[in-house]
Amino acid sequence: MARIDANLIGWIVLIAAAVFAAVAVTNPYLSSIVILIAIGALLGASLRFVMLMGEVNFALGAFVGIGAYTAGLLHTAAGLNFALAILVGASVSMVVGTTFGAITLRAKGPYFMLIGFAFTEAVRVAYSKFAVLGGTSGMVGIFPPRALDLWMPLIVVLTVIVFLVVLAIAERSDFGRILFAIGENEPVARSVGLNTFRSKVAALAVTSATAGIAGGLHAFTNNVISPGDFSFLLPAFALAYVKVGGENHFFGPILGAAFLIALSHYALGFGANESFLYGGAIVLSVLLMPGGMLGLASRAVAAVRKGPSSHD
Amino acid sequence: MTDTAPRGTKPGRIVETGPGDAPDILRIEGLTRRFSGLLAVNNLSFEVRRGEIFGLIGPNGAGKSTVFNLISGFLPATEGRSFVERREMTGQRPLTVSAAGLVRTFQHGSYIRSMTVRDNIRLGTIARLKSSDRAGRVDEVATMLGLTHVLQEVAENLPHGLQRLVSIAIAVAARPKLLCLDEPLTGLNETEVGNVLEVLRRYRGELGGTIILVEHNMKAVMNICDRILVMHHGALLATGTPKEIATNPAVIKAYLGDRHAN
Amino acid sequence: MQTAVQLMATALQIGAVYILFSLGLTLVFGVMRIVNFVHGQVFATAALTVAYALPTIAAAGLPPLAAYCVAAPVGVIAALVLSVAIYTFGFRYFQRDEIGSFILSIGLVLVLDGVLLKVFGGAVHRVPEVITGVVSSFGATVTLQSLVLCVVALLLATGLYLMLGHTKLGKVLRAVSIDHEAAMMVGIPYGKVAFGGFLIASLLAALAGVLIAPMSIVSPVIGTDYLIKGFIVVIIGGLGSIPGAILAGLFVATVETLGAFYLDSSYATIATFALVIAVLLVRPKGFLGRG
Repeated sequence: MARIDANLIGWIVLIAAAVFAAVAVTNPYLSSIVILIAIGALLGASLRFVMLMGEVNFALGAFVGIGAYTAGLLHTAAGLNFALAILVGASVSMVVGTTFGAITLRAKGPYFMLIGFAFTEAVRVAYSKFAVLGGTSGMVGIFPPRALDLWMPLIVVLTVIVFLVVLAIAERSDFGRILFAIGENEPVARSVGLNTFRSKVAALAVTSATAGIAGGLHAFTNNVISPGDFSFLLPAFALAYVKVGGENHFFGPILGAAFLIALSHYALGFGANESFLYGGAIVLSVLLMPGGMLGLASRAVAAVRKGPSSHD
Repeated sequence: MTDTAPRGTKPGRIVETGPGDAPDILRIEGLTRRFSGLLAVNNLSFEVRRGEIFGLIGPNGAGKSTVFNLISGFLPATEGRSFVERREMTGQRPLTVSAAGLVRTFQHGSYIRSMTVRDNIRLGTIARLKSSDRAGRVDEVATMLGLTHVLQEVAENLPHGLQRLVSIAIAVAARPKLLCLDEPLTGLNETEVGNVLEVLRRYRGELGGTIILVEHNMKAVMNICDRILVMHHGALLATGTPKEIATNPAVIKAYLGDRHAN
Repeated sequence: MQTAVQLMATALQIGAVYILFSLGLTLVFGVMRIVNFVHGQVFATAALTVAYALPTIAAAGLPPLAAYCVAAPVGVIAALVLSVAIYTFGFRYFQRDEIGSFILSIGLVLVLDGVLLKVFGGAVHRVPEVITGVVSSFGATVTLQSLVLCVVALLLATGLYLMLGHTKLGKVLRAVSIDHEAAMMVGIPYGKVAFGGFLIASLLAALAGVLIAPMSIVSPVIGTDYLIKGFIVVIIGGLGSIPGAILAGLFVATVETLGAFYLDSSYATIATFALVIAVLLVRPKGFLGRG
């Protein structure tokens, strides 16, 4: 009973804080950080979704980029409106992700990681081959409608929340249970008739869709995108959010994104290198706090619960 | 009692008349598995009859678990054929074989450690049952196996004996026609063994009628099996009732010989 | 005909460096089941140290070759120190944890990228030619330096292969990579062996870095460039296979050389990536791998 309450409280706090931040923060610089955190949270949650089944999806960079470039192209070249552009972009990304999964998910563990890595980098190089995408300098002029300018933080935050809810629901469903079982003990799942390959591909479909949304949001809030935005560093940073926040809980990547993005912007003021910070965060959490910040917190709570009655 | 055909499956070619009335639920012909020179299973042929509890025993390294891997589709056979209810399962993968009604457990940790007992058992229902029926089946199976009081517990926190029951429960939840248990009694104390055997015996009908048991616990095997097959060095050594097997000189020699060797 | 030979020669030169780089990667994976992204940084450290130190030493009056002979060991030592630190404080705890070690190594790559940038600066270093002269034969011209590089690479690769096959250390390494539990049961000290494997791999990376310094432009990002190529080589050849790394190294170098010649270099890159994905699908463990 207490478990469910904690989750519900978590969601309420999250939504309240996010909406508040989106609406109450008027400073444009801080607003942009809110947007970055929201998008980062979606990226982290997308990565974590695939980690449920025991795989690290380094193709995330490609999925985000495809969503971004498709949305950007549809808007600048075809004049498609902002919402539709992002949705179509995410759909394209989903098709690519599903196809990618169907082809590559026979491979597992380090092989799947490296295939994803290769794919992200190959796609990154590929963007620059197309003049219509702006080549190496990138695509410019991706703007949401003027009227929405002031509302962008709220729109982004709400969109992200919608898709976080989608991911949370998926995780709690029987589909989520299958993914979890696959991650821990795939043979058992197969022995009771579950088509684990199909489930894995479905997971890729979901994650590439949400990644595509994140990409579209990035395109319209950054207004400029270039191939370098979607290199292997993107999934590496998403991994940092997950590991630092805590991969064993849904809110982990959200917390991780908030913490790291805020920290990096604070530190950038001192001339610190972003990569260094994220890298350090990954190394420290992997070595010292394997469950991330939420892992530490839940152990602290458990210790407090045991409390003064245990003197051993 | 028979389910409607499971979703999304392609059963093997049906060889003879309707599966429902075939006396043998599993038929193996000349099953052989070679691992680069090593003959793990050697030209094995046998049948398992509907409704019986069938024991598969043999000294260590005899090939018993390999047979399980072969018949359940986790390992392809080098030669030979297998049939579940007259449907040919040779070369089929676990997905098809389990859809045909053969569900197996694994020797070690045949459950999901970090999931609750309830979610573990539910896993067995997902492929076979409609979403609205799943929760009911979980409760049904939990009652059957005496796990109702631990449904909320996380599997890895349970005592060994209950973990074994969870493994069996997951398989049972899938409504198997043929339940294949790979050493379900290892590491259990006398009481726990008795408990599992009682469960198997009492619910033989409900569990889908037929059970194949790979086991080392001789006492239990003699106690509960209707028929036993003894393997040695991958080949069939003897089959028969427990009494026949216990007095079979070749079997005695194989076991005594091996005991001396160890 | 002339072009073909020249192309082959170029491919051989590039392949030599790839092979040296990948040998270490594949060795570490085979023995410790670790996907070691930091390999690139160890390589880069050696290369950068040489690129930095050599002009300084040369300015003190030594001829380039002699300066090189002084700078090279320094580079190797610097790289090894880094490597030992990484192992002791990091990878030692992640043996056989493929995903965990990968994540750790990604983190380390990010950190070291920043560190290397700080220490060596973002500028590109050009090391003066250490061995001057060119060799022409069969219509192909190669610099003497790169010829020496190829020879050294070949010697090292052969040496490694022989070591693994015929020395006690080699046998132990192979035993551990095939079945570490069995190896431990017969008394092989897994921890020490793993460390030894890691050290050898890092030495190979350091040597690769030291050898490449006089031949190409050394910048702090050189590690990542080679890393990606190195992994492609290792995947195609098979994670854990030495002959695989050698063959795949030559293969990838050939594809790249031909691709760059007939198309352009970024198409070559895409082609190589597509190739990796194709190989992984057909032979998920690489052609000769046993991961």
